[in-house]
Amino acid sequence: MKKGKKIKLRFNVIDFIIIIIVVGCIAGIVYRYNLVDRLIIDSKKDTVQVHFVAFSVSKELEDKLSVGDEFYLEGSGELLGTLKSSDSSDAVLIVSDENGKPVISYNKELKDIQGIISCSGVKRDNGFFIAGTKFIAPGSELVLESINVRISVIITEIS
Amino acid sequence: MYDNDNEKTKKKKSFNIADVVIILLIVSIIGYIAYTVVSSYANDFFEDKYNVEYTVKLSGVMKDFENNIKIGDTVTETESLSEIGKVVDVKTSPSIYIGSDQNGKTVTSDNPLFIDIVITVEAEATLPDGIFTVNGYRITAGKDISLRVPDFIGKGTCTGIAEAK
Repeated sequence: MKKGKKIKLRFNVIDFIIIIIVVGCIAGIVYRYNLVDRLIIDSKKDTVQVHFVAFSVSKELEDKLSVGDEFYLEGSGELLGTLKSSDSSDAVLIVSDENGKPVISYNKELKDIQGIISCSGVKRDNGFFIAGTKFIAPGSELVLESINVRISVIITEIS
Repeated sequence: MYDNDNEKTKKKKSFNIADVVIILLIVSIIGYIAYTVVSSYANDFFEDKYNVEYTVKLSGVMKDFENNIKIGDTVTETESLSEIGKVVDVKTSPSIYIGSDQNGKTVTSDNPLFIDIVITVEAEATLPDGIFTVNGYRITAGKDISLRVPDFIGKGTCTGIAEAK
């Protein structure tokens, strides 16, 4: 009866070259996309107030924003935070007067909504990151979803 | 009964043309990926460096954000996440509002709600292919740039780039 033969794995130059190339590619990708910073989720989380405005929202949607609702980012489904307050006013628009000059006017059929969402994330020197990885700042245009409503907002302040 | 020589005979692993083809294929694929990912950095390493200044105009920005971009802020391009310089100057002005009077004549005025922000950014660039490139990101007048600083994110257009004096 033949004894089982021991298969000896021989490590040669070609194997070494392939390993070097693969390791180099991985290191390049990590460095190129700052993956170390993006993947490390800091243990210390910061709670901030994210102020937003939503322009020209229909009255039907205005009623669907409820304090206490959780809002998620459309697409990724990441939790942004909990609505702390919301306030609305007639939607602002600019119209021309008889001389062609701009005049601020108001559309009573639509609402501009200002609100504050309490949000947990990480504050770094280069900005604020939800869940440690997604950057948001004043000017960010987001589409938010809650159980009751989907709404497009612009972040105006993070405090 | 077995011949002892058979047991001792080592099975010789033969290296044939199929192995060569497979290895070449793998090395080519890996090499191509490596070249695509890191080539911009390799270019930066070997190219001459230039100190450049470029301007970006962000039009129609809400007035709320007038003071959000500050001198000294590091500018990051939002898609490539490349750091593309530091802000050295910020200028704001009202956006232009275009209306028409009762005679149909075009009238331009200051927009009461929106502003234009022009930022000047200083960076170290290389010049591969005749286009200034900062950290792998090509910048030339007319290019739309999505950028962020610690306290603002927005879109603008490069209005000029040149070597810094």
